[in-house]
Amino acid sequence: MAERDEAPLLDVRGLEKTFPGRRGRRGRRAPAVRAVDGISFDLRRGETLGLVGESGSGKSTAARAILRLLQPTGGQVVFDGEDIARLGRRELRSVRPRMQMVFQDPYSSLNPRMTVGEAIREALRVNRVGDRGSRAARLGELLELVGLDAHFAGRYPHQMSGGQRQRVGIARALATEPELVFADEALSALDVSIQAQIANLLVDLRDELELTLVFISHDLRMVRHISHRIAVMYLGRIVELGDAEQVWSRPAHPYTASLLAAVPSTEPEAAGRRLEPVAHGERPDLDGLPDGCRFHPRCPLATDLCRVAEPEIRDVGTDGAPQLTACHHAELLFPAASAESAPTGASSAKRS
Amino acid sequence: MRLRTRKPPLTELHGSLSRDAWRRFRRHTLAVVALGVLGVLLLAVIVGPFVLDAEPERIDFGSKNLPPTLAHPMGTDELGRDQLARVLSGGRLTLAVATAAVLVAALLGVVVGAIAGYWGGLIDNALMRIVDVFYSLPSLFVVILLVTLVGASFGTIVAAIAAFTWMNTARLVRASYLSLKEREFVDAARSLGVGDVRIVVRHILPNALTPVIVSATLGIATAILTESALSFLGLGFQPPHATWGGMLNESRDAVTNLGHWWRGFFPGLMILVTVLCVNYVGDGARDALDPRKEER
Amino acid sequence: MSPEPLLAVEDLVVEFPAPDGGGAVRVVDEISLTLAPGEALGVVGESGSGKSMTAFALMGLLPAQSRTAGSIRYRGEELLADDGARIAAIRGREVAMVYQDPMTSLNPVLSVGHQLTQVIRHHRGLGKAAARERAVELLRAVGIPGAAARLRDHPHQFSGGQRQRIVIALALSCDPKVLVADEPTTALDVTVQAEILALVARLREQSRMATVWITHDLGVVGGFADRVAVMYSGRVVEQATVAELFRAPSHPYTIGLLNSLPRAGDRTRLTPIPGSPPDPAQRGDGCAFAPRCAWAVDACRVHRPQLEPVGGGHEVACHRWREVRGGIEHEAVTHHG
Repeated sequence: MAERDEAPLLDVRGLEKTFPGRRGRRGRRAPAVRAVDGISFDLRRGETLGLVGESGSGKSTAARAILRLLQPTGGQVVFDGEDIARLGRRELRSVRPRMQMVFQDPYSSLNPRMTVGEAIREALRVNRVGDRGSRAARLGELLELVGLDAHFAGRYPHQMSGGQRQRVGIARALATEPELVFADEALSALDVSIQAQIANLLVDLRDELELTLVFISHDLRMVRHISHRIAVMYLGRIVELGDAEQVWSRPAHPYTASLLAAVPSTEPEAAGRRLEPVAHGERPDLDGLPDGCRFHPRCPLATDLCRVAEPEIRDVGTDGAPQLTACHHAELLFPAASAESAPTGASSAKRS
Repeated sequence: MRLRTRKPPLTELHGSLSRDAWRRFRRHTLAVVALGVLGVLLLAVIVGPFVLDAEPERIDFGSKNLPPTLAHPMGTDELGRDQLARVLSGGRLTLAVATAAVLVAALLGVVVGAIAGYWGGLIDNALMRIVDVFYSLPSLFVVILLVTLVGASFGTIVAAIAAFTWMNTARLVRASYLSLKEREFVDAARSLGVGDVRIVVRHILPNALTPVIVSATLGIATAILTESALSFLGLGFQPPHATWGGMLNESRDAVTNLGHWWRGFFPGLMILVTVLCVNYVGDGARDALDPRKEER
Repeated sequence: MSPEPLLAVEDLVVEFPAPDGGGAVRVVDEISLTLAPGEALGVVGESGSGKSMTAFALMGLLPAQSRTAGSIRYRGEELLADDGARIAAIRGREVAMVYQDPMTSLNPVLSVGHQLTQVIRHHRGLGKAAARERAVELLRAVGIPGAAARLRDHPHQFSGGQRQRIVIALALSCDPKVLVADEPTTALDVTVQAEILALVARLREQSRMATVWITHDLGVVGGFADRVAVMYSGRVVEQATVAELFRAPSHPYTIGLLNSLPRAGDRTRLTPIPGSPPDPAQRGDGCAFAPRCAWAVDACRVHRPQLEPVGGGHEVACHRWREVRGGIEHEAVTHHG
């Protein structure tokens, strides 16, 4: 982790992305969907933040809003000291190459009608990197960087395996020499044995090129492995944010605890042990959020307070390491809390 | 140390997309035969008039109204013109009109569909309303009106046919763009800073062309029929120029009152064969260009 | 293990005609599996390992152009035989399947209650009211809140997890002796996956139903199955109890899979399996894993290893399992670590 630069590279403040509701019959609109509902976090240079959440948590939408692939409806995205949330198309041109994305589905993120070489050369040309000759050299460099032979330049996506396509996706994202890279579920479409290859590649490139990385995934095991800090999202909000090891070993939100309890394990002692969900039921729809804490209908710790008051983000960290949580009862999850007052969720949450 | 993948064994390495498509097309026996027939037809109408001894407009009262003979394989008409020569030169015009009309319609359809599908919103709404209007107009009636007012020339007839066949393509292309613009490769291009126009033309269009090619192929058949209908109504090309539809029109009297069946049979047969073949080729193209056909 | 298995797969082969017309591609290559009454078998493999095709073969759902050989016996009765009607009856009543996508088994235009009662009435000959009652019971058993009131709802009115529960209810409606589940939780959120796994485990205990659970995630199998079969490129390469497999994985592929997963308390680099799985059309004579295997020697590239017992009901298809187990690593191992 680098601390050579005090100012964060990325500072997201109260980011919101609301989609208009679907137009129903007789022109009536369904209520707006608050996919990202006021999230804040910052990122130092060289840091890796893991963004965890299940489907509908808004993690991908947040990434796209930060990268301005979607227009944020509120909040600020301060990138290297400049708020880019409302920059115009032309002003964005100078920012775009500095932040890039590796997409989830290597089958859909490459244009089926463009060869690898065409795709990467386009990235270079659009961003006015070098002339024709130096671009060809750079193409070779990029392919080598991601562990592909130069002859891959002539291939179409359908002629490659999933892992190879994802390498191409990474090479394309790196073509513009970005400082900030988002990896949006970049491993989840791949087979387990290939996931590890690509995870290693991402980590190597991060270290070698001093990238700042936002690793978005639903796989807590992998997020913890790669990230320095973890942010957990639930229904458009960050419900917990803290140091990766701390979040893993001492979750401060019952939702994080449920995610941890649901992580499948391959340790020998895990054989025969059943995964016990802590949270029950399923997330409500975004257009029908409950009052109070949005997790309370599934939460084993929920009290009357949770049903009326939406919890504020607060710091429950120890030893100077901040650990933010949006839970009224976070303390009940910690081992320090007396055993009999801790509801059922807390005990099963401790295992990892 | 950086890990490296081994070169993977790939069965399909040799095939680019178009070669795969050609391989799939070849499996479609009927389409291949149809393509062959069309090729022969095209060759005949282009080269035929130069090779043939007879001229389509040479009047010879000495040999009028002859049934098919060796000298006149398709017979002659009431002015003694050789029907074979007329069918061949007429075919040239027919096919030229149909192809031109389809190209114009496809171009218009692609432009409108792409703009509507990619930018959406108000533009989309406006363009799709225009499409609806063209759909709801009684096309033949308007075409007739148009041709009567402006006069029948190659340009007006092509324009008239194209004006009422582009909407289908527009809708197809719009639908393709609606779904393709949500694909991650479009997001990827945008995040690299690729401009909208380039995304529309270079990234999405090649992926949206398949249905256009298929519908255009099938559109040729429609265009031939529309042109024939126009000529049949006497609104097509004026004599002495003839298209297959026009020849059918001229033959009405001869066939019904005089029993000169060959007058109507041969131009009709040509229309039938061409339309059938074009349809088969269109079917074959659809299967060939749809890679899903091969997935297991 | 009981002496007479409920389900016995022997030397099952599934082939497809090669896309270029020459020869056949083997997607399932002489696999043998047994399932005792009440047992839970986990089948683990990556895409292209043949795990789903094995399930399809069990259910008689292979595409028409496929060719099968070997045998699948249910209580001694050959399911690959030609007696269509009898076998269909066995499969319908005794063996049920749950797919990855619940919408493949649910009709979107019919209400959930209608679909459930239809199956119940067909298989058990119950009257309308009794079938309805049974449907409510089943929905309650799989944890659909307000079951009775929701019979009239259509599939799209349920969430993904609930749909998968309904499919499970549908599968259970005729009290099958065997449940085959093909990655039924892959598309679901992890918390929902944990709930579904817990549900099926509970139902299994109640009904003593044997289960084949197909997944790509070794971890999912851990808390659920009694035994695991690891598949690679159309073959079973290792078979053992879950505890034994996690304690002493003995096939290089299994070890590679386990090493590919991040471990608690270890943030160093992962140890992936190099390369990618072979194209089934281009498998050679030797061990299909040899090109990616650090232990491979010349013999591995020539002779295909068969499953052999290594003690404690544990079977491994590897020429060098002794060395692998002894941890005597080939020098090549040090190259990627």
